[in-house]
Amino acid sequence: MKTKFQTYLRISALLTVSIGLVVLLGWYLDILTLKSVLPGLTAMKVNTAVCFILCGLSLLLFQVKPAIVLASYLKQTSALIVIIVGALTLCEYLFGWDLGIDQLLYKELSASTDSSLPGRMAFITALNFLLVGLSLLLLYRAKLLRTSQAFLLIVVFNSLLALMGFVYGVESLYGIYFYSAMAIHAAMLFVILAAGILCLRPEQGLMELVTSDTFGGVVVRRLLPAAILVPFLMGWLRLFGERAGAYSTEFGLALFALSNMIVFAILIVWSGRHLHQLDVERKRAGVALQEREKMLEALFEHSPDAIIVVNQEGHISRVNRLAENLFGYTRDEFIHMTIETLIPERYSKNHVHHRSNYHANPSSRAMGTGLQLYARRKDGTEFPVDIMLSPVETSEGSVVTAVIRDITERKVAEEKLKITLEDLGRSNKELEQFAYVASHDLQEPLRMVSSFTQMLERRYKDKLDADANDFIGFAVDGANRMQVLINDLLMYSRVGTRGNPFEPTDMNEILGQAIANLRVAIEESHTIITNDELPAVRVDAAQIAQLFQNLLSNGIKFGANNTPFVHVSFSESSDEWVFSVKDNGIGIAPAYYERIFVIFRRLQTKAEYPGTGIGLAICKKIVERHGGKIWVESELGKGSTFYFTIPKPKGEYRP
Amino acid sequence: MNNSRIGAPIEILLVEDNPGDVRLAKEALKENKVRNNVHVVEDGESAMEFLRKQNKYQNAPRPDLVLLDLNLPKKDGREVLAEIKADDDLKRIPVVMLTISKAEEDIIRAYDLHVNCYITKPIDLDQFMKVVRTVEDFWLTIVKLPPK
Repeated sequence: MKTKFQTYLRISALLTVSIGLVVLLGWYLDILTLKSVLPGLTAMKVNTAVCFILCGLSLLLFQVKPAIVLASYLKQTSALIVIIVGALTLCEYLFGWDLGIDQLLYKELSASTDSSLPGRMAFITALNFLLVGLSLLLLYRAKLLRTSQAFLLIVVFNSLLALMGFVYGVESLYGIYFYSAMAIHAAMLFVILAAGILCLRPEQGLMELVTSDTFGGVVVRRLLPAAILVPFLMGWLRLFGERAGAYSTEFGLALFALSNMIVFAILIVWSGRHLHQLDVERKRAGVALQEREKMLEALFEHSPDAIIVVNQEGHISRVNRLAENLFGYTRDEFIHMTIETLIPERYSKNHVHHRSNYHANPSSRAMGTGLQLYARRKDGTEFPVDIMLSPVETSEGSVVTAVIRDITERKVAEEKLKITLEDLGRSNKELEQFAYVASHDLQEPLRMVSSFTQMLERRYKDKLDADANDFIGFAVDGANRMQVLINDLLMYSRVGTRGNPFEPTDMNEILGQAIANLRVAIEESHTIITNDELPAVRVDAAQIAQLFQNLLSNGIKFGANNTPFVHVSFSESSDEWVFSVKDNGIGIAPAYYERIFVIFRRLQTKAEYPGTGIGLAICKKIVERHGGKIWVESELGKGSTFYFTIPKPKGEYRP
Repeated sequence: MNNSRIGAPIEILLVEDNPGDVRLAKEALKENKVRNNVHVVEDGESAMEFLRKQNKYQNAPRPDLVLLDLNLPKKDGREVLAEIKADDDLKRIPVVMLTISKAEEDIIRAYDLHVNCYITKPIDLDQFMKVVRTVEDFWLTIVKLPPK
């Protein structure tokens, strides 16, 4: 819409400037057609042409950014010159002076036929320029906008009058004022120019009615041009017919009246229908709007969170039902309160400050990020809340919508969870400490049992019988096994209590260490151990070495009889590394996939495969301490593959 | 090979609160070829009194070797070790830490306190006997010690 006006504005300005230039050219080259369109008609004067050029320029310069001072200076100067020329010419007419401005730019050689005052523009032309110039100057003073537009309407009226004179052949109409008549192209150009200037402020002042989409606007737009053009055209037709002798004056008048009636009846019915349709549509839209409003209202009222709308000064303007329930105030009480009333006193002073900060930089966000917020009920009790703020621009200025959620229950649950976690942590710690101390202190008496049983054997072997020797054997064996169990338990408990911090570690090196530690077992079993190139990972090196050692040693221990092999490989995803240790050993039945990781669980007899059953439990604990998982995939008789994962640190570390 | 004290019995101070361990150590030392007198104290305070000839230990001999357990009632092994090594009169007496702990931090702390050697008690009797004998042999016949 706006650009349409701007386009017209530009066209009218350019047209004004170029026709002015063409007329000037006509004068200098003495081409009659350019000066007065048709022979016998009044010529456009040089001053008139120059004034049109200045008006067109001034109008064009309104399009330049206001920041360019030169342009604003130029457009005002142009308008001012036009005013001065118009005013001076009027003075010449009124007071009978000759100020010498008429032929200042061009000396008319012979006294022109149509004017006794060579070079002077018509009185009405001068008046029009005075009005156009003034309207150009006044257009940007908001208070004088209407005056400026009224001036333009007078210009249009004057010009139409002149045009009508030409069309109807009534000389007095275009030359009534004193001597000189307005040129026909000058009259047309005034209409175009005035319309162009009106387009500068298409939505304000008198133009508001013309451009608005109200019913009034529609009526004006449809009927006003017709009211001007139709009688004009009909009158001309009537005159034309009469002059040609086609009918008498009475018949012509009747024809004129009748045709006006018909055209306006059609136009009015057409406009009325359009208005009717518009009205129906608007009513329908109004109903839809009401319904939408009702729905939004319901959404607001029945929101699962309390909503409070606050203006810039902190006054509460709207609340929903939950806000009433939550705070204990009624709606009426709310709207006489500031938001600070709802904040515990110890915070409310600062809140005023926070509020003005928020208004300086409003955005949808959570209030008091990272802080625990509290709200205060009418009865003074406090409760923890989460608050989301979002700024809304309304006709009453910017307001803030605060969505408030009572998080008492969540807080209680969080508190409970925190206590439970603390308890759990403590009991875990105690358990680990207990396991460590117990296994440590258990060694002492155990050593006594074992040592003195052996002492007994040593001293009295020859004095005892075979049974006694057996018994001693069992006692010593039992003590020894218990020793191993205790050591394993100690090692198991140390995974949690005596771990080292995680450091970037070359896993190839770690694997190398584990293989070196198992050198004897590997050589004895002729196991072939191969591995992929492994990555560097952030781990507790000692524990991961232990992990590899346990997994490899299982692979060796439970390996194939003829050509045992173990292969270590890895893969990675975006969030973790997956390592695998694959053997071709005896394998594990699916029923035991989980059980093998439980402490002291064994699948094989001690006679076949010695061990306490702690190895995989330690592996599991190590992997879990690193935040990973461990599992096995296996087929009986074909071999097992143990997998463990190490999660990648989020974003901070890349090997 | 011994110093200038051939013929005189070797004095060993055993600081150990577990009678079983005391007996075992004594048994092991009994089987040894070197003539020795084993003096036993059961806690850290008595150990210091013995070394400084205080109270009831006024007639105690200056030991040639101290076998020190780590975990003791009252003053524990670390404190005893620290006091011996800080005492100009006592610091040359070799102190052998004989304990059940394999913990790395215990070992490091002991050496930081200038222990002469740190030994973890083997579980197996034969091993234990062997270790005790070796200790005695090493410190009392192989090593050249400063004069008393």
